[in-house]
Amino acid sequence: MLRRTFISIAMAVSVSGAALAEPAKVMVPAGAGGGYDTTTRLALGMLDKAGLFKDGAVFTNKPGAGGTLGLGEFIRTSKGQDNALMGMGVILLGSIMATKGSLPITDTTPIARLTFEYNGLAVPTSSPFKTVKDLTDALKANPGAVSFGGGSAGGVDHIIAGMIARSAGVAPARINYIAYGGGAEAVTQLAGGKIAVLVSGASELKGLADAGRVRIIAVTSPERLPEVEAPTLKESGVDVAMGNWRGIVGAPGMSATAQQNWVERLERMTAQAEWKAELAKSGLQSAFLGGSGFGAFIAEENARIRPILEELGVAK
Amino acid sequence: MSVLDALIHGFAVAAQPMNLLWALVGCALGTAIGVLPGIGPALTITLLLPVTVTLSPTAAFIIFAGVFYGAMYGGSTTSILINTPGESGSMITALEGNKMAKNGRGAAALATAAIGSFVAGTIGTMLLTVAAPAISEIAFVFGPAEYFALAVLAFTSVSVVLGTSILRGLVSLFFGLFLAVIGTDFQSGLPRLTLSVPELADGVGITIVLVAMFAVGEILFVASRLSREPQKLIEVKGRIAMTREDWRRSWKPWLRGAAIGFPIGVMPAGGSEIPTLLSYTLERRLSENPEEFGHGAIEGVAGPEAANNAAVAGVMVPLLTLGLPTSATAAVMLAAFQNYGLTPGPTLFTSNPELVWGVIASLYIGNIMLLVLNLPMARVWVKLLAIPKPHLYAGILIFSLVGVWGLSQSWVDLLILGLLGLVGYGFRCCSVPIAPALIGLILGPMAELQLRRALAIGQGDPLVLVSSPVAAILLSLALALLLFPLLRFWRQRSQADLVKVA
Amino acid sequence: MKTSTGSTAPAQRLLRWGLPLAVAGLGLAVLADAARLPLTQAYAGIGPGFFVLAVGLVLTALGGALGYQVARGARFEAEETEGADLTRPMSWAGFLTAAAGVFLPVGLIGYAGFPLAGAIAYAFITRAYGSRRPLPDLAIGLVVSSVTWFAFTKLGVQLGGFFPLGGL
Repeated sequence: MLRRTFISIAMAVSVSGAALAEPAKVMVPAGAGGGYDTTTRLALGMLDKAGLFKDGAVFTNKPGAGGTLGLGEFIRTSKGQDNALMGMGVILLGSIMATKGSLPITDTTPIARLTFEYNGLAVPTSSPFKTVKDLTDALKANPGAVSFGGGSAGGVDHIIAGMIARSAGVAPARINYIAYGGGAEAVTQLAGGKIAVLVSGASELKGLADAGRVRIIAVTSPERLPEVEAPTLKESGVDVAMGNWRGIVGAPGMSATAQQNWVERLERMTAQAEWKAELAKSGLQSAFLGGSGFGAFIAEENARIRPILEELGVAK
Repeated sequence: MSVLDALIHGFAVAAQPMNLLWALVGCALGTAIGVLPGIGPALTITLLLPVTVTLSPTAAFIIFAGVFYGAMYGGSTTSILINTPGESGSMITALEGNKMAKNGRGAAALATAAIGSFVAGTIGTMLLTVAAPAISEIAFVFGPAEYFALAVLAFTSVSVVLGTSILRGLVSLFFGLFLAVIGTDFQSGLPRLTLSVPELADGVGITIVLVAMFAVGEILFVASRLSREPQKLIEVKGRIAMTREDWRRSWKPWLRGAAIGFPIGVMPAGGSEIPTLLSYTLERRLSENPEEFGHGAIEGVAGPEAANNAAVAGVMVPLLTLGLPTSATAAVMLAAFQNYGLTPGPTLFTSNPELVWGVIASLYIGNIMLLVLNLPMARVWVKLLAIPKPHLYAGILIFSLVGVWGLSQSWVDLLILGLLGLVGYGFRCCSVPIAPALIGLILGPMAELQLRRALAIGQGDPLVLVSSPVAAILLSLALALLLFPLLRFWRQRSQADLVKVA
Repeated sequence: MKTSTGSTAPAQRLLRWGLPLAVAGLGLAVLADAARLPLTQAYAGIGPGFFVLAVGLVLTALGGALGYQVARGARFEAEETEGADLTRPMSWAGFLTAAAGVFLPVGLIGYAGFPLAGAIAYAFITRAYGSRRPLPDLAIGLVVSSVTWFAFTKLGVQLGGFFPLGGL
């Protein structure tokens, strides 16, 4: 335990890593404490703990423009470095499409997808919508009357809302989407009956669902989630499965050996029970996918979300 | 186990020597962080999280509570002494507090801030103890229309009470609103006023504006008008920090500040800025010595400082009872709960009474610890003002640089800091008040967002804005606030203007 | 024109008309951007351009109102601030030296690192405030900013390398 404290301190005091041998240079294209930050720090911390990579890690947080500022700096300053990594995820892909002049993710070297977080679709307890079909029927009848809450414009929640609308035969741009910055505000307003339906992280909805204030009518995962009692969208007749995934990419022009080393390290780390237990605490699932498989996955996701974001008017 | 038994038990836990030591560590760290603009309690607790996983949950939360409250104290210290608010919640404190410090009453200002924070923090914590589940219902009442009404109330307060001229107050407010619309539009994702600079896509950071307008503006202004007279040391008047008169004038603002701060803290979008502003407005209206406002009125420090601490206690209500983090700091604390495998929410009080009451008791302990630390420290802090002016102002600049550079390490941010510093300089040259600009920047996005949300949900019908009683009451209050003093103000101003024109 | 009235007159004129012109100019600039944003949006009725338009209009109007006040002879005088002597003419030397202290780190900090850039800024500010010992001030500045760098880096605040050019 004492050793863990020591390592944590060494990691918190990231700049003084000079004493360690060739530490990993890790870019986090978001502020400290956010999703990318915690996932990336957790992954590097677990690598160290498991003895898979013990040379330490120097973190740089570079928030701004949906992560594209950090991405740009990473691509420009780390060319060919075998120890330079960056945390990223599906939201960054959307931001790249929405930000004029952003460098593409294909400039980086894919390492691994690490986690998945699935969303839930919730309504107030008193809502007339009991099933997803009630919701899509209402959308077809009058999309404006269904205030559809979720995270910021262009994010995963917005994409999911757009996909649900499209599968109901309603143009995504016609949904009455109400964007929220934080899950807490959105979910209290849902419970207070201020909005009709909300897409949000399943773990964020769970608290008020257990308290009987909101009802989760579906989850967005391909399979049912063990901790949430609700059908998947697919079971409900809406062929949509979408989650918020996060992963790690390497520097542009990273050597094939280095890429392979990182993939193997992360594969061994993510197979450990302790990693899964850590993730479960914040409602995340382990979802390792390494190397070229991850590269292909990124390409698929790009192809999948671009048309939706264009229809929603976010991607240019 | 009754509430009282539980609480006593919580105290027994929190008062163990090791836990007291942790409280001391947390408070000291929080105060140190609080004095730095931009480096707030959320970031501090985030950085501490990995270190504290090895401690018991109670010890960890005792540290966090210390950091949380300590940051509020630290923020007001720099507000009062060097006119550089460490947190946006202590910005209003600078208005009267810094004037008091310059009149040699810095120790009294620090004392009323510290005691007021203690009183309000304690009241807030007690309310949390006895009535948390009932109070958390406030969170559900507030929807977009109600938040919009609250923001309007804050705007009218700021235009009415701050500065000497309503016109220039409005100039400042709208400059703040101008800064607020810079960035990517939240609802549509369109860039607004960003000049295609990617660094502006997320808008102009509050920290940068806070530091630029207050600190950098003042550095430039005083340098351009440097008094050639030998620097006179500010003498600390009075032997004790607070006189009997100070106590008499402070206690009511403390209580009123607590009454305003706590419920707004409970609301998910409440924040700590609105309560401080409303408390300041209220004290200015109610004061027997309104002419002292703007020149160092102690009520103007006592009320807002009590309000921001009560808001901190308010934030704990939805966190503990509903598992809802309503501020960045609360979100980090939620992560800390989850680290221990605990899920805050309605069941937490029954499933983990030890921890909940330990946390609540640690909030009390944190408050007492800070009071004990800060009252004697007030005299020491005031000595800061005795630093020769060249080094004091140069030191303030270094501080400002840490705050801005430490956030993003972006030279663009430093450039914005300098440019807005020039604006702050211009404001000072024309006696345009600075605080309304900050209020505009902080509350502008909320006002716009909630207005557009309310209208979208109501499908464009403007009547939704007044359809709920809460929204209607808040808007009428705002209207009354604007009309009454406007009538009085106009009478005074028309006379004053005539004199000036002549 | 070396008399004190000569040097203050333009500054005063600038002060008198500067504020209304600046406010109205900002308002017009905001309006120019508002023109390109959609004013309305489905359902809400008001779109991303609405607030921008409102802010631009009000700022322009405020500039006009201030201009009216100036035309009627009102003057905007500087704020009373401790340590500032408002009876003296503005000192450009003091202002520009302090401004240099504020702006130099913008270009320097990325290469020279926080401590050195901070020390240079420190020396400029002390000079603007009447100190005439640049070298000792620079030394004090280096100590202050290095200590600050170490302390906050230890707390986990990222302040970049100590001296990036030197590879530290």
